[in-house]
Amino acid sequence: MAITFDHVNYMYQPNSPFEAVGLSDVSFTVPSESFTAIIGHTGSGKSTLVQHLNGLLKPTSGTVTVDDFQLTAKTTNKHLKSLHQHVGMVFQFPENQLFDQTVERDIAFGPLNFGFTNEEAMSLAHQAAHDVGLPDELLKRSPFELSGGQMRRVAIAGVLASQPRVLVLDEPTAGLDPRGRAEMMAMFAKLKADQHLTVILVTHQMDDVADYADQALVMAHSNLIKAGTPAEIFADPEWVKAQQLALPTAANFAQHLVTRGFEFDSLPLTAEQLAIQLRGQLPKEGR
Amino acid sequence: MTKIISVDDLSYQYPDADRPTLNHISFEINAGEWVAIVGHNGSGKSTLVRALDGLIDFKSGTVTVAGTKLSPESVWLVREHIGMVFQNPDNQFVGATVADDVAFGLENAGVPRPEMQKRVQEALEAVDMWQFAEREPSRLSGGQKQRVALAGIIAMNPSIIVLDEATSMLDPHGRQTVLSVLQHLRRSNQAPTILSITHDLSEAAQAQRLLVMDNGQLISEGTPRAIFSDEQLLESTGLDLPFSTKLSQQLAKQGLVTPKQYLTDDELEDWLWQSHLTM
Repeated sequence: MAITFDHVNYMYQPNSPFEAVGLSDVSFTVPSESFTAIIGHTGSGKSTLVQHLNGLLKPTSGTVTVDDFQLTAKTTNKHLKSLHQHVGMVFQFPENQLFDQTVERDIAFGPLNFGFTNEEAMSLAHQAAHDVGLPDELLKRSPFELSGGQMRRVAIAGVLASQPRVLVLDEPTAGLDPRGRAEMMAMFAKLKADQHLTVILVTHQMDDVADYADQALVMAHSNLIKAGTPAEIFADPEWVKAQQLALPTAANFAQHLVTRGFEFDSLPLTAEQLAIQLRGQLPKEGR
Repeated sequence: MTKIISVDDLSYQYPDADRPTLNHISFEINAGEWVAIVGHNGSGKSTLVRALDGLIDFKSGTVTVAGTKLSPESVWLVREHIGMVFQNPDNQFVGATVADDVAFGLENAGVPRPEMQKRVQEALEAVDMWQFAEREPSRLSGGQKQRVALAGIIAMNPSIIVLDEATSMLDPHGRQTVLSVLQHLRRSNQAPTILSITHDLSEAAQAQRLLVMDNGQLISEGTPRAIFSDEQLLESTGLDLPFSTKLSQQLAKQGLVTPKQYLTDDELEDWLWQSHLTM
């Protein structure tokens, strides 16, 4: 599903003393089945932006289009149901939202809510549990007996069970250890490929942007200040620093090598790209 | 060197758990030392630091903090020595303003008002947040919140500061500002002992010593260099590899020269430059 923001503005508590700008004239397009990262420091408007994707917030003016669904200031809540079903949101620490007595029932809650029969919902729940790598023997357990990483997978399965076409992930790996982070990012990449999902990832991990994203949107002070491929976004290290963002680790290291006389056609963003570009600039092993 | 923390044969099993979360743990920490505890989620790191503060009712082993053996009777005395900062900055605020929040612990301790105001200001200046004293904590960024949480601890002047993944939810800038506050504290006259739980290798690299936890056991300890050199240990405990190691692996894949031992990122940069010059 393609997503378009067309001159979207959002005001918090308009016409009150607490009025504050949430989004200011934001326009962009996310192609169907792409992987888009949204970056920017805390308070830049990233979360406000993604809350428009499934109608948790409605634009004060402008239009959000998800596939053929249009969200404007005038959209009524009862029209939001199809948007809710097609756009799955995984918030930070989603395991805090688990509530049911068994893993299976917790995952099936979404499909039941969207009108699937009990049998269909259970079948979707089992499929989603399988997709996130939860073993079958956990399905009858209480979600609260599981480890933190497993609880998070249950919460993500609960979103996937409603068969969304767009998956919005707000810092989904926060609090996980490095192995857990790597496994979860690999899982999202696989889900995207297998289920032809459009993925939107809010993240502070620039290495994840380098490794996974097709394009990135940079937010600052409620404005979209840059959109492009990761290579385009990180091409100007001075600009990146001025936005209080960081370079991917490999790009930062490559910058240091440039000051030592190494040359790169384009700024390498991963260790692999860096090693490839170092061919011809370093001796071969065994010589 | 004075020992400020001694843990001797500490074991603990949560009720209903099928195996111990802490399994015969022993270690010592010197006054003024910066020690990082690393290990995957569920390895027992957080339980261990909670045991130091008397938040876990362990039955086996002893914990001694600043010469006082931890017991139900001494727990309040021990807690005076320890200030803890947790992962989620939003869960640790009680005051309506930043200054009120930092004053909270001092008020509880019955510190007289003029003294309290002085210490609040000093603590907020130490974390570079004095200009935010009258702001609402909820309106701050994550990095600012953690600096305020840290100021609340600094104001109490504990001899030990424990950070339980205190930078893990912060953006790169926020993480950097918190780490620079810690570096700054280390250089002051009353440098506190720092015990930090972290997954971030660049944060762990700033510690003098690392303790590696796995399945409730302390399986290794050593300098960051010694631990980071042990690729097998890092992989088997679910830790990240240092960037220098990842790059060396990729260089080997391209058939290029690689250093024969672990180098830090800075050392690898030097080494690559030297190799480049021989071309």
